[in-house]
Amino acid sequence: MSALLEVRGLEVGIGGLPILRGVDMEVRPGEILGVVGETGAGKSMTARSVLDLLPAAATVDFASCTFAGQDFIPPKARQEARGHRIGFVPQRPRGSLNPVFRVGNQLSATLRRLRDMGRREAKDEALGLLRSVRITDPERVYRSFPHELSGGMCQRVCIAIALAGEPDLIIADEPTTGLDVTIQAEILRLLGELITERNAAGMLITHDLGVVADVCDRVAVMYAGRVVNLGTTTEIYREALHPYANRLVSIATSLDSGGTPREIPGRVPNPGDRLAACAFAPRCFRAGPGCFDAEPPRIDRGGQIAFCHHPVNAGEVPR
Amino acid sequence: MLSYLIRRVAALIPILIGVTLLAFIVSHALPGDPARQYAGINASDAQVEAIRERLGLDRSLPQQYCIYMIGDTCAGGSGKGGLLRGDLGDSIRTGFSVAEDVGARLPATLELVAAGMLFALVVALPLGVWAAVRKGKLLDKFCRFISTLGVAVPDFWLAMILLLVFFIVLQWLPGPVGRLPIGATLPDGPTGLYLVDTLVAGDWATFWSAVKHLLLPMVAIGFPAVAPILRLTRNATLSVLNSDYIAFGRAAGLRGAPLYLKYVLRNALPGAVTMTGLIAGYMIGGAVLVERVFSWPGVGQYGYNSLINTDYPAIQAYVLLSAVTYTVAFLIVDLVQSVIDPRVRLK
Amino acid sequence: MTTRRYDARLVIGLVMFGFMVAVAVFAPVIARNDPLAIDMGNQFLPPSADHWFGTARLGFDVFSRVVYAARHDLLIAVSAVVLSIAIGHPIGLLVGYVGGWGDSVTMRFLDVIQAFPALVLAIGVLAALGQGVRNLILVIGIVGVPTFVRLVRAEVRSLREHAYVEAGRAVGNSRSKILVRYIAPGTVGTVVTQAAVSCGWAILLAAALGFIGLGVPLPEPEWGAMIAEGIPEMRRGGSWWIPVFPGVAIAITVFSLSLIGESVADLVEPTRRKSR
Ligand SMILES: Nc1ncnc2c1ncn2[C@@H]1O[C@H](COP(=O)(O)OP(=O)(O)OP(=O)(O)O)[C@@H](O)[C@H]1O
Ligand code: SF4
Ligand SMILES: [Mg+2]
Repeated sequence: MSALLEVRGLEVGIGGLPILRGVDMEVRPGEILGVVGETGAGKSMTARSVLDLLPAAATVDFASCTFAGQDFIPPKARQEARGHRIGFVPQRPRGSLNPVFRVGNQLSATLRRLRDMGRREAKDEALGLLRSVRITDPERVYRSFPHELSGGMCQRVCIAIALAGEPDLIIADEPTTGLDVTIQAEILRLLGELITERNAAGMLITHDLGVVADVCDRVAVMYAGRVVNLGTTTEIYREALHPYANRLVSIATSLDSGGTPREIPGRVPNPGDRLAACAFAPRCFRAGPGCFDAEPPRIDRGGQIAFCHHPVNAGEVPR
Repeated sequence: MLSYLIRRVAALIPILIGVTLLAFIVSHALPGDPARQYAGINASDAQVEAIRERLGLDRSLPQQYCIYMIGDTCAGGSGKGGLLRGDLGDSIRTGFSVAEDVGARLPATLELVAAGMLFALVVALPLGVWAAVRKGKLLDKFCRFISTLGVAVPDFWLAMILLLVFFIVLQWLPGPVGRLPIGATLPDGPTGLYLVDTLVAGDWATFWSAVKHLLLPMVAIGFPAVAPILRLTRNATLSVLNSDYIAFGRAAGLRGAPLYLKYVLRNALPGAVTMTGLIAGYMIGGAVLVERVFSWPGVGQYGYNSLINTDYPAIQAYVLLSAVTYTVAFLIVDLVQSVIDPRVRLK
Repeated sequence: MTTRRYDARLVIGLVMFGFMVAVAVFAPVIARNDPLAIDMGNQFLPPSADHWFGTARLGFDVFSRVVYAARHDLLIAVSAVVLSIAIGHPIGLLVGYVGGWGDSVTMRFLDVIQAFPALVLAIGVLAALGQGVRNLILVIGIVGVPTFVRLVRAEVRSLREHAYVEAGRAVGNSRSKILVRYIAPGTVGTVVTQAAVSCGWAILLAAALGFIGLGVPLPEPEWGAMIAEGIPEMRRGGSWWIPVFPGVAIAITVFSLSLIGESVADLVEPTRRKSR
């Protein structure tokens, strides 16, 4: 199956520091890819590279990048995809809406821009979109300013804006971190449903592995500027090859089942202090010959990809 | 919106009353005897006393204030005069009603201040946005230098430098003779703003002449305002550029001119507007100086001349006018603010 | 790399301002003539080796007058700011800490005073009090008071809520002791910053008053008055040097004070550095 979005060898640097060091991942049509990893792993940077929304100081380099067969390396191609082909759901919904315009105005302006609609038509479509993100009184919300709405409501509006251009891919960067815990699950489920309903694909960046298990088809685990493990949700949860992914998942599941989680010792290295070989080596329980001096090899076991010298074997669960 | 307006106006009333009281006290504390001045040097003591009585100067200060505010009802009269009826009294120096005197000179000052403000905004707004977009680059540094220097240069000195360069040396623009050449027929239109009146009448020659006379005073009075507006716009733009809604707007496909006009400038505007109100007040003060350099026949000159002639009704009116304009400018700014920034209305 | 730039501004500002102060202090040494010496044979001479800034009416040496004027202008400005602080700082501390109706009345009163453009208010009060250096200081000082009251009051109100003030209260300090020991020191930084900026304003205001003839009485030299005197001469005979040099002196002084104010503000309030 050919991928909708395929990123190969993505490297991003800021001020001489390597932030991303060869990210490989792909999103297939109709699937939702979960992207997980500790803070600073480069999840947001990856998403922003795809939309050409990196800070001005950043340098970007792809080995290859395609979207629905189109070459995505020229920045222009990525810029033009914003809104039209790739929708984006932000992390802080309230701050992401322009405070001086009514949200309805922002939504219909987006529709007019992306879909060449007239005023009337855009308003009708906007109300329809608000309804489709399960807002019960779209007329009132349409007339509201962002500061008059709750965080959850703002996020629904942001999702509506992300859907406005009928994109093929929706990227959501920690869409629920700022929200009330009680509605986090609801918003995520809504997002999942909308993506499926519209035959779109999704990339969901999150810290919440429980959510990933519920919503995502495949998972990419990032560490220190790389995707270290990529596979179906079942594969990653049952038998992740990479020790880091394996430990991450086991912590999450032992939390769920009430067991005592064991932390991963040590801390995430800063972009300047990463080892050239395996960046995880100083914290790894399986570190052995080669780990500190040679790049870990790419392992493909039945479609699950990992970069590791000593991958965790099936059945051998180091808890 | 309406309730906001009412609240804002109501909050002004005590301030305006305080302002009239202060204006009254200051003008009555002036040295010199207005009655004697009014009567002339050769008047007898009896004549001076008669005038003193006619002007109401023989009464107690509270009584005088009362008459000043609500007219002769205070003194058991029939209900004439008083500030609240729009009567500012008669000028001791010119003998005319102060309201008329001021009214005749107000358009000149308004035209000057409005032009100065326009100049400041037209220069400072785009430059501020541009400096923010090119933060840390040469242009940004240049703008910062200009803003620091701009507040350090006295406006009356700048006025003089402009005259030196454009009138004396280059001879491009007319000298400091007021709004039109000496002896020119003054346009007589409904507004008293020469640019507007000549434009309405289609009198291009006079219009052009008025523009040329206005240019230097406009720059002199407007330049000091460039610095603060520029600085504020730059900082506001910077925080807008770093905001989440700009990032999200971009992610939703907003690019190019619409991004800068609709999002950046629009969101940076509230800050600039506040500053504009402050500046308006400053310019009314600055008008005294710039009008003097350019022989501009405005209220600033009138206030100054009244002052050196101890013409207290006129001084009172001038001081009052400055304060009221300042206060009203702030009110307008607040209202504009509440229109362009919906969050303000909540407070 | 960012911190160094602020230091550079501070150093440049201090050097420039120090230079002007030195000029004022050592005026008799620096000036080459008596600023009040009349020399009818040498009126309106352009700048030359003998008269660096040229001469004015009555043969006054412009350079000497600009140098001596620094004494008046700096003395007036600095004294006025000291006066503003002496009045404004305690009032701000008190109304900010105590609050209540005293606070409301004070703030309404400031609203009224600040409804007048500073120059207009100064002109009015000065006309009532009469001319002279002492009254100039008084008027400029009074006009500057509201700024300090507001600034200190705002600072006190935020400091009041701070943890270490709470702690001081918990230890059983009296209210007045908390104000003096815990809160007042915290307001010094902003006051010093504002003092530099206000000093610049004071010089501009003094010069403006001098320009319209309400400043230091003639023939004593003062920058604003010298500009006023010079403009008609410039128009009549093109003697630009009479009004130009005093203005340059004003600009240098105020510019240096702005630099100091800006860089000190960044030092005092490190969070502001980030936003630049
Ligand atoms: N503007 C920037 N300038 C310099 N470095 C940056 C900038 N933004 C991010 N970084 C660095 O890039 C790295 C990756 O950041 P990124 O935001 O992609 O992480 P993330 O995986 O999204 O983390 P989080 O879970 O905290 O969102 C981090 O080490 C961060 O320090
Ligand atoms: S390469 Fe070595 S150190 Fe790195 S994860 Fe695999 S086993 Fe651990
Ligand atoms: Mg992130």
